[in-house]
Amino acid sequence: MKLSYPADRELLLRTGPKRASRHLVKGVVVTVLILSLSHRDAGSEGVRSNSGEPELVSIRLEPEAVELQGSGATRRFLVLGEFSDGLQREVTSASRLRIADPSIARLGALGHVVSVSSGRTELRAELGGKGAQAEILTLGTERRRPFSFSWDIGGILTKRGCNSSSCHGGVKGRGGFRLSSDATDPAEDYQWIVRGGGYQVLTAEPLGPRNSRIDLDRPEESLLLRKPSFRVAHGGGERLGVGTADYEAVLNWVSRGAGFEGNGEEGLKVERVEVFPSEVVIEEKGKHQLAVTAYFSDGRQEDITGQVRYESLNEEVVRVGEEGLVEGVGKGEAAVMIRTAGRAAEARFGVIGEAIQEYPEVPRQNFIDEEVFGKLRRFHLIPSELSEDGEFIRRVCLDLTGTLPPPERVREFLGSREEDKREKLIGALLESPEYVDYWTFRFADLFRVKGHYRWVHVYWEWVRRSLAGNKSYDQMVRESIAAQGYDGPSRIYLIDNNKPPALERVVAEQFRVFMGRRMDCAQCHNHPYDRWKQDQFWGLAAFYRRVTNTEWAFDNVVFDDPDGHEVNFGEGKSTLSFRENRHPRTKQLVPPTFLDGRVLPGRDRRDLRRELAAWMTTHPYFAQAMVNRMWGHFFGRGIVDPVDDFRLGNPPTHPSLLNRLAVDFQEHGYDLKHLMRRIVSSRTYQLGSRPNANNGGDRLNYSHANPRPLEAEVLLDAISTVTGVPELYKAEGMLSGTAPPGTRAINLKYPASYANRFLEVFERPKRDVVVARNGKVNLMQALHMTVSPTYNEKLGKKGGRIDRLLHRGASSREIVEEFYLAAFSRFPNEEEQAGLESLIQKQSSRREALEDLLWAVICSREFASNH
Amino acid sequence: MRLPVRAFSVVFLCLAALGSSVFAEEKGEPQVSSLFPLGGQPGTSFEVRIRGENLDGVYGVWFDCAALQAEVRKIEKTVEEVDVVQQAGTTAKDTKEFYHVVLKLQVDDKAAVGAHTLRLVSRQGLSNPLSLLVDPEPQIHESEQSINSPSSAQHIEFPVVVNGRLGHPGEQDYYAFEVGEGEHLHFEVITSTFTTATVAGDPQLILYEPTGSWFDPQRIKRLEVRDETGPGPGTHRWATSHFLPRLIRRFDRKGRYLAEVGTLEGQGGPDYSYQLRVVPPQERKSGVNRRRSPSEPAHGYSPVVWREREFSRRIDRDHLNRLWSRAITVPEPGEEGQTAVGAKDSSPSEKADRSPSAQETDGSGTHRLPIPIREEEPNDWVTQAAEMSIPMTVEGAIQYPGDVDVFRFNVALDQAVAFEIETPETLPPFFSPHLIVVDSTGTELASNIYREVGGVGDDWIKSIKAKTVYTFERAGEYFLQIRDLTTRRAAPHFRYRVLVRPQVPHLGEVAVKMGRGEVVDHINLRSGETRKLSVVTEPEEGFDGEIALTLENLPTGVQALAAATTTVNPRLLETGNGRGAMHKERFFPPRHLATIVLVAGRDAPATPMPQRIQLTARPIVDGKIGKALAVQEILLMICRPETEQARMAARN
Repeated sequence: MKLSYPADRELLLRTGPKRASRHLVKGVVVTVLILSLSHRDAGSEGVRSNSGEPELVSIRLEPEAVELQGSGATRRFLVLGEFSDGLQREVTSASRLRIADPSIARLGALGHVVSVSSGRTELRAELGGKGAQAEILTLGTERRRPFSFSWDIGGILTKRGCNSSSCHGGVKGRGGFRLSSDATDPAEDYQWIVRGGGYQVLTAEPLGPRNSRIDLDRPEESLLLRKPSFRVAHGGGERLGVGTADYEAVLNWVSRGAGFEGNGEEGLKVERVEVFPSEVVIEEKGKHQLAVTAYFSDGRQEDITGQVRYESLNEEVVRVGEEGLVEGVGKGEAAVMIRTAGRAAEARFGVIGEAIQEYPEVPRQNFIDEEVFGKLRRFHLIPSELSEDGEFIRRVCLDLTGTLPPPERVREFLGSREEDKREKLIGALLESPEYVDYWTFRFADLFRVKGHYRWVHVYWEWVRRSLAGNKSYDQMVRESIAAQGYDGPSRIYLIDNNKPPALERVVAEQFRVFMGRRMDCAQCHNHPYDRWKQDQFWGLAAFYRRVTNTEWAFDNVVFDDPDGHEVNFGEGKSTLSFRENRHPRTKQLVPPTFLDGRVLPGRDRRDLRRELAAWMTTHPYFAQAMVNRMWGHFFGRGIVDPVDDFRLGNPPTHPSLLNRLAVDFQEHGYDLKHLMRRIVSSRTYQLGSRPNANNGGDRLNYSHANPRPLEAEVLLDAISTVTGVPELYKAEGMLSGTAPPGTRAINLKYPASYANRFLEVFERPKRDVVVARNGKVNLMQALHMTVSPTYNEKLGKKGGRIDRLLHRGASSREIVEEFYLAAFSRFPNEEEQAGLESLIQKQSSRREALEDLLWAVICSREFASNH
Repeated sequence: MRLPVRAFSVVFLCLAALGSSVFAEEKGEPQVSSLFPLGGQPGTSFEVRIRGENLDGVYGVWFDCAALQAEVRKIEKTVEEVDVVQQAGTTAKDTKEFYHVVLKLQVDDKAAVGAHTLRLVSRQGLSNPLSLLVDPEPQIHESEQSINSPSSAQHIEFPVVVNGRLGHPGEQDYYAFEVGEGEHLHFEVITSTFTTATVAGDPQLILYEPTGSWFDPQRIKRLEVRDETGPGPGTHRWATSHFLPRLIRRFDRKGRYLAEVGTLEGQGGPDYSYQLRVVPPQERKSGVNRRRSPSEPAHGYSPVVWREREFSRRIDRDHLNRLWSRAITVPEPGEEGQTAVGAKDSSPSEKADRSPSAQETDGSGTHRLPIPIREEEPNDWVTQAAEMSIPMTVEGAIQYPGDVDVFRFNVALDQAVAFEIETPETLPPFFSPHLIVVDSTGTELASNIYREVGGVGDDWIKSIKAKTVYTFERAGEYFLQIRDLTTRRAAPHFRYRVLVRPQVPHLGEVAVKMGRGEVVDHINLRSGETRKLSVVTEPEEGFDGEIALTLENLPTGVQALAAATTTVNPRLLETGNGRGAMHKERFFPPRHLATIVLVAGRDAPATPMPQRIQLTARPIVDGKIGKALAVQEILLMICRPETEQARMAARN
């Protein structure tokens, strides 16, 4: 972020000489600060490179052994070469492959192995005088895999993109023909193809006549073949060329009567789809073949590398061909999505410039470092040095308490030689009242503390009490989801107009906040880009159907009524009726149903939301969502980012780290302090923000700390702290209250309590919707820095920091040092110190010079961000 | 804090109901807005400062009992700047005259503990009321020095009641105290928000431990406590919207702690007085444990005598006697008992059920209820339900989450039954009793949940009621379920008392009302003036006779005349919202309006002190008249305001 400072001539003319002079001084000071910061950014740490061509050291086959069950079972092998530059490269196409006993298995054209008869053999690979072998065991070759519409036809439709969300897999389908996205609902697809249909958002019954897409009498004339083969006009162009294997497979299916399952054999399901490699490094212009394997419920494996649809999530980094060959395009990191019938997988690619042969040893504090540094090692990225003490103390104080460390504490910390001083500091911060203040503020965002001023206080108090007592997070969430009565957490159900929110709203919000997933789309239709179905959405909504409230005088009691909440009188209802949880399309009442389709048994329906809360807080998503949210707080980017947008097309950058954090969080009783301590104790968190020559472009792998803008409230508090002038908050209208002097912005209970221009400009969330602070800079903020009272009037206020320093007779050196310690938690370097002292000396008014200096300090990027 | 000399900046709530006098909108009537201190100890005398408007002519003080006496010591006038909330919601600056009346107040050592009513008397009439709290605990005042920061906290020793004031918006007062390890203390804050509707701002009480923090060694650490802050019942219309912080804290560590008194939204101003009560729990002699509300009258003075639809009313064994006393009874042919009359189309079975033969009668022929049945667990299911006859009171508690207490009873064909519930220890919304009547198939027939359209837009809103009536269309066995609305909240103090009884057609509430239904508690009438009084009557449970009204104990020269009127304030007749009301007849009686005109003759002498006049009502059915019931007491003053000339003369 460049500091927006209007020190131009036009301003000079408009503001008059005195004011302009002050602005000029400010401009110079800012320039000094910016230059200083730029200097700090210019890291000079280098990495060694190898100028010679890398030599092949060894090769190996992946996998090293397979067990192929059933006739025609297949498996793709890849040959991987270890090279002298430390890189592993995929060299299958350059290698010579042969099967030791072709009567047991044969080699397909694309390097995949096909079982022939039961037995044991070997696959051997040779390249450049190096060799490798893999064991192959074939079993049950008398058994053929039965036909499956879901898998065989669904797979073709997926591979060819027919059922992609941009085509017939869209919400309403296309051209009157609708398929489930990526064949996630094969039964419905089958009906559409065989019987025909007509999609309506609000009904499951087609309004027009049904038109079958197949012709059993004349299979070749089936629309299902004529359209994609472009024998008749097709908006999607040619997708299935006549005579291709996929065309023939579909034709064969129709010719055989278009059954759903073949030979009456049911139950053969695809249990999982795996891709190899799931994470790999390639060079720019380097290539790597993917191998995709489907695992069936009977133990069978099939190579489906050529039968899936590939998609690069960042084509500026990697491109992927139809057969799964990935090519590095530019440096960076990207995922390749693999989609097949009802399943998806991903492979993550790091594209590097030059391989590092001698990678430095990096100390590790805990498993976070193992995961992060392990990936950095694989991706040939070298982490930055450990942060300096000043950088660390400021960062951790702001992250854990939203509070700048006072100068005396900074001096003490910088001067300390204790080896465990960082650990001690973390412990002190976690037990400080400022921790409770700050995390109450953060969780008030999360739980959307707002609403009627009379009861917002009890809601806020509940959040605060929970954090002060370090209540386990799962307990907090259970109390929130299942809330009844008059207590604080129950107010979540009244924040919108003092009545329970619409079912669809509460489902979408709670699933997003507590599970990290966005189901909103599934309210109206199956999610076009994710796995969520409309049935799942309304199955969850059923748990909230009974929520209602009484109004006793001004005080509401939230409770569950078997009848549910009343439908608005004005919505065409002149008599009493209750909200029902009907599926919008089928119009059927939907019972409380968990995500996996398990319907809550009748005997357990006494307290629906308690059941839901118990399920939700033990679901793996729950811990994942919180650790990811917390990670996002401390690093400015979630392992999945945005932090509440886990979905197929948005995979985690560090899946293993995410899982380990989640398990650790769960194993430690969802202890938030434990989670925070775990994160901030890691070396990863404590890395410096100065990038080295190797990792400057890294934004995803935490090789160095990334500066993050301070939240509006924290920034305002920081300005008040550094200037020594507290902000005054005055309520408007009927309440006419004034927050007690010294009240910090993070202690304001809810956004509507006190209006504040600064907080508005810096986009304090109103909590009307799920809070997402993006921290983006806007023009208003830049203008605010220039003219607002917060940035200007506080500087010279009586009793403020400058006033006190001047009153004390502090020297310019002491004052500059104090400003730096208070604002940046570090001493000024010699260049800064000398430059600023000199500037102060040149001004006729020392007070004005100091005010200008302090203005520049609080406007600087170093101040406004946590780095 | 010391009363600031400089001009105050307070918000004057234009919408606030400034007392409930028919005189309210006329200039010149004394209006009081606050007093300081809020109370005192029996057997003491102390100075009280009362702030208000039009108090320049104050010469006396009226109390609700003889145990309190006061004399006016001083009257001061200030001109203060005020923010006036305009119709558009904006505020504008204005100036206003305020008066401060200083009283020397004497509390007799026999004075009843609790809230007493105080009014100022002037030549312009009687003021609106203020509550003065009498408490047995030692009382002290907030220090004259500033105690607005933790470092300047005032040291207190308990038991104590501290009288303080939050004179400015955003002000907080700090009190320091020492406790021993494991010691329990009860804390409670009562503010002037309970005594007058003109003071806004819910009080807040926070405890701190001066532990310091890594950031600031002087920082005090807030002790997170789960207090019982909640709505406090009160005597004025808006009282339920005010919160009362109260909590009991066990201190794990011996040492010095701080109590901070402030307001939730940072309000404060010259009228914002408070009492902080700190007592060991076992020594609580007053406060919320002794009386359910600090504003509950200690002396028994209440402008409206009869209320039968509040959770806090008593349902004791004489409850039915009181109902019968408000009914017309005739001897039952051939029997010694009586039957209430007045309901239209009383069926034979109803008459039979209303006969005292079904009730226990004492030697004097009254209708004492039988000894209540106490619930015995397990009784969650109909198969476990205890049998009860009608009339009968059942008592119990919702002791564990999801607890449902079920009772079985039988009714006759077309039997009209009333269900009344009292929650003697815990009021809604903390304990929200849900009463449901089901038949033998489990079908719900009636409940104490009332629905109507209201709230924001066209939402249904519902509330629980303390009384509902229902007429059974079939004779047979039915079940009464009692539970908390939620399936989670439960406690030994979630006690209930439910009375199931035959309906008794009787007089319900009768009161002189004004505006949006505020009860008129005093009238200032000038000589030669007339005043229209709207008397709202509520016939309960099918009473369809007439109600004779009289005003008694009128001062010399004042007459009360029955009147017909063409102008009726429809709000006085409203019950509930009206739109979409579900079974409104089960929860609200109909309302009728009568008009009485008070006429003060030109020669009517001024009353130096207010005179208590009584509104009495007599039920009349089929020409039979019942006994006179004192239904409301109103304070009446006949004034002869000074002319400007006389005032000038008096000053000179």
